Amino acid sequence: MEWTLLILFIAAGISLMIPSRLKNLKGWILSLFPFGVFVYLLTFIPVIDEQWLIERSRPWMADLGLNLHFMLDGLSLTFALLITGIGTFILIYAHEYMRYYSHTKRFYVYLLVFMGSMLGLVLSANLILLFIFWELTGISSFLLIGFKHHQENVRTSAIQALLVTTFGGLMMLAGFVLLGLASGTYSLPELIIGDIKITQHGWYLPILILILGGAFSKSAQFPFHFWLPGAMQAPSPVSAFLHSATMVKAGIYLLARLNPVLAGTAEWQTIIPLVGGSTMLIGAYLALTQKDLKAILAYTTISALGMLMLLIGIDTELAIKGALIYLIVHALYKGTLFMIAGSVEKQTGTRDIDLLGNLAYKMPITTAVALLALLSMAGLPPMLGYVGKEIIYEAKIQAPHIAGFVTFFGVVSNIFMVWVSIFIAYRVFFRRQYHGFKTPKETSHHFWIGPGILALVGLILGLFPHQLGEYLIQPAMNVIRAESLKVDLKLWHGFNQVFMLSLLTVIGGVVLFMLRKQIIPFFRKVNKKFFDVRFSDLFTRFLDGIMLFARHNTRIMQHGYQRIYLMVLFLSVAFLGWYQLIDTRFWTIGLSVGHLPPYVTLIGAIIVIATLFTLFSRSRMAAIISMGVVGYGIAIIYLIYSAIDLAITQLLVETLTVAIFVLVIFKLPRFAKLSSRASKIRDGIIALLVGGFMTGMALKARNLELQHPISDYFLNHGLSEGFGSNIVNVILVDFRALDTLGEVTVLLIATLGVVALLKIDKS
Amino acid sequence: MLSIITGVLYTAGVYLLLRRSLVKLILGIIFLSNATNLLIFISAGMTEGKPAFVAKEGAEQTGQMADPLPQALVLTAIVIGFGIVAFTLALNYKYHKQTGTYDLDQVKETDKV
Amino acid sequence: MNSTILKMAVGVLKPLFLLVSLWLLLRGHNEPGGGFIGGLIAGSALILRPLAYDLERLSEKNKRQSRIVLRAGMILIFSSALLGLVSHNTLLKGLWLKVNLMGTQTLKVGTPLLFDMGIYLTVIGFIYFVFISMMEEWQWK
Repeated sequence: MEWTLLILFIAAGISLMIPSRLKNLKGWILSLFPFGVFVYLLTFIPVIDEQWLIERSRPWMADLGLNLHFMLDGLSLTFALLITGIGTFILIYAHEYMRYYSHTKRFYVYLLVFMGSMLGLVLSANLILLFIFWELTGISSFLLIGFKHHQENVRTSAIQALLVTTFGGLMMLAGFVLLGLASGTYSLPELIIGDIKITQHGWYLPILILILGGAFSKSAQFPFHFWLPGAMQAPSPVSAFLHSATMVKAGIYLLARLNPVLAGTAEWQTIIPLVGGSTMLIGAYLALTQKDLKAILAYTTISALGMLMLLIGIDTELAIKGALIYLIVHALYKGTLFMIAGSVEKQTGTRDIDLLGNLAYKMPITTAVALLALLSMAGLPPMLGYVGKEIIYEAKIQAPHIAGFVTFFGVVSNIFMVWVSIFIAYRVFFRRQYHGFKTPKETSHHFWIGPGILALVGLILGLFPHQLGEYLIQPAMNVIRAESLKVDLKLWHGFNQVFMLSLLTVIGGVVLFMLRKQIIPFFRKVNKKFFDVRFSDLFTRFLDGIMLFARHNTRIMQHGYQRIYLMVLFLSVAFLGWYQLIDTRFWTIGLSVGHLPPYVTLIGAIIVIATLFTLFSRSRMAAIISMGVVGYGIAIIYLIYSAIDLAITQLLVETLTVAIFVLVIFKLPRFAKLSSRASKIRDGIIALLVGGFMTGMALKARNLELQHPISDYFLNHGLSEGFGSNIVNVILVDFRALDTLGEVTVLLIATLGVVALLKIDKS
Repeated sequence: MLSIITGVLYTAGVYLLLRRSLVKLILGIIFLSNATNLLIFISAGMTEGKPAFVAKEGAEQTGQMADPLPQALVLTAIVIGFGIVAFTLALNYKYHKQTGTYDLDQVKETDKV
Repeated sequence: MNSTILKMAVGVLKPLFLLVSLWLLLRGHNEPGGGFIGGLIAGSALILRPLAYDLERLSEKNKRQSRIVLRAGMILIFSSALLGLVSHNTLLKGLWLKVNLMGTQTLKVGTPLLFDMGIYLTVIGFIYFVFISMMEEWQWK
């Protein structure tokens, strides 16, 4: 089962290699991969029914406790089937849709990688692995949303989506880490099956909030919802995929997956329904006032996601059942509708519902498919949407504590949904006006085959909901609720309270639709007045603010005067150093240096004099030569104190340095008097501070024996293991050869640097 | 005494680095690198006349020898220091040639060109 | 620089320097010397000729040579590092081969020596290359 992931990622690679001869079949060929996975996953249905959970693990970073650990249970399977099933049709659709785009090769790679990451996300059995796939979906969706990156608004939307979801992802990672620390495991099956009481843990609230941050941002919950309408800038197949089976459902999946671990508390049952409920209402309301067909659909997606969140938050058996069915319902109709919207745009050249109309006669097949999907969206029989909506109403009525509130919200949102469905059907397909840019005609079969099948599946499952319940919903329920349940779905429940609510919903929707001429302008006015602030703009402004702040700071910090950088650096070093020295009273240990032999004193004096000469010399040549004297003096000190190799090296290097300076010196500018007296004194003081501190430190270091030096090891093992008597050399080429390797590399880079610099104006 | 030399070298290096002249910058770097080498060297303690050579097999180890590790560190540091000097020289030369300036305070202005 | 003395001396000094550097390199493991020192001396030897003579005749050939030397050095270093990796799974692990010479003396040849030779060549290449490039830039004569 873990191979299925690999297959999709391999498919991404293969998509690059399909020869141009087969270009006309590309989407079809590629769709075989997810379709194969889909069929393969279908065979797991009976297996899952029996044993609930299949785990596979292979070592990856075993030392970190991180393995490629995958699991398949009812919940994963439901999602995996949606991803691969809808993915298949998306590819077929994309085949035709993307035909006249450039860079389609890239497109297929992104899409397949996205599909693979999404599948990985739902199959991961390890929190960290899940996070990795989570971010992979974020990155690949960024690439997909930004596919038409030559347009500025597309880039903005893509960056927004990336930032929002990544920000949430990082919150979620923090939550995962806390969860892992609190429970001692990152393994999902252990968390779910094991009896670790996280809900009692002191960190429960932070864990919950962090993980919810991830789920809410990914699933476009208020106030993170704004990235989703922006994401419709993506090509239509991507929108269809993003909105239906993937990406936005990841948050739902996460919460459903962690339900046994985190749910059942007052916090869970308050925060999630509150956020979900308001998202549901806001999404539905905003959908009404949009003019762009895809924007309308995007806001209904937000509303639907809010509904799913709400149900997961209610956390009763019925609510979870409703959520699972609605998940499938929504995936089927939203995928269909987005693809239809893409077809409509292709055929008419616009997505503006004020311009569209009268397509029912020009594009009959497309219209039929769209109507099926819209029926499902409105929650009317005989579609699966109806089954879902009935259960959801039931769940809401029976919700603990908050039944009244959620039922009211639910009915209002559903009335809006019905209205939107009728509205779309009327405006796009049946209105007797048409102002589009092209003369519409029926699309080729590529365009309606995918959505058609999805819509038909919605119809078939609506007619035979029992099988769906038994084979898919029930195993998923079992793992979410962690108990064995019987799920029996029916299309027809009889006349009861729920049915009355449904009736009310439909009537409300129709009435509102009738009154649209009055209501929509009113809503638009309200919108203008109260909802004029667009979250996406706020977000953009926030980002701009950060950039401005950074630029401002940079201007202060990076003034371009090297001396001042250095001054700050040296002063802080000297300050900290002196503080430390005085704090430890270095003078108590420092000054007990024994007498030095006179020749050392003499050399010392020579060095000091030569240094001073270098400092104050006006002539470049003299400065360089006295600097050479300093170097030779140091070499002699090395020699006196038993470092023969060092002495030789120092001598040679000093010679070469002087030589190279002599080579260059006449090409370099003369010493100029650039500094005033005051600045010289200031620099002198800084320099003295640093120098004095260094003296103190050197004194201190000499009198400090912290630990048994490691050199003893080298001394004792130099001959036996390094086979050399010159320990310095043995260290260089044997014991610490890796360091030497690095140092030699530095030399090489310096060479390259010199050559590159000198060649600059030759080319 | 040697500590004081180290201090003097550091002082000279820092002072030169804070000048505005291009050439003094290089000299400053050389001083700093020498000073640091010396600091590492003397901080390990100094042993006169006992280089870190182990006797051949069979012979007896005698007395305390100089610490070989800082020597090894400093040895490579010296060579690398030379590499850096060569690089800085080339950089400075090129900079001077391209911009005609020798004042480090002008770097900001020439960046804009 | 057009010094006749230097020109005459180059012929003698260069091979002498090179020999000394080689000697220092080979004995470096037991006595003062080693790759860095040997390399520095050999590098100085190689730049003597360009310093003494007209550069233009030499420059291209010299550059090519120095590039080869640099490359050879790096190859030696990495190969000695990789030998250890291949045989003992540890990068830069010292490997020693004991060769018996005449029954009494044992000559030990190991990857550290290879490594040292790599350093030697790299340092030579570095000095040679940098000097030549600079001299070429400034039309040193």
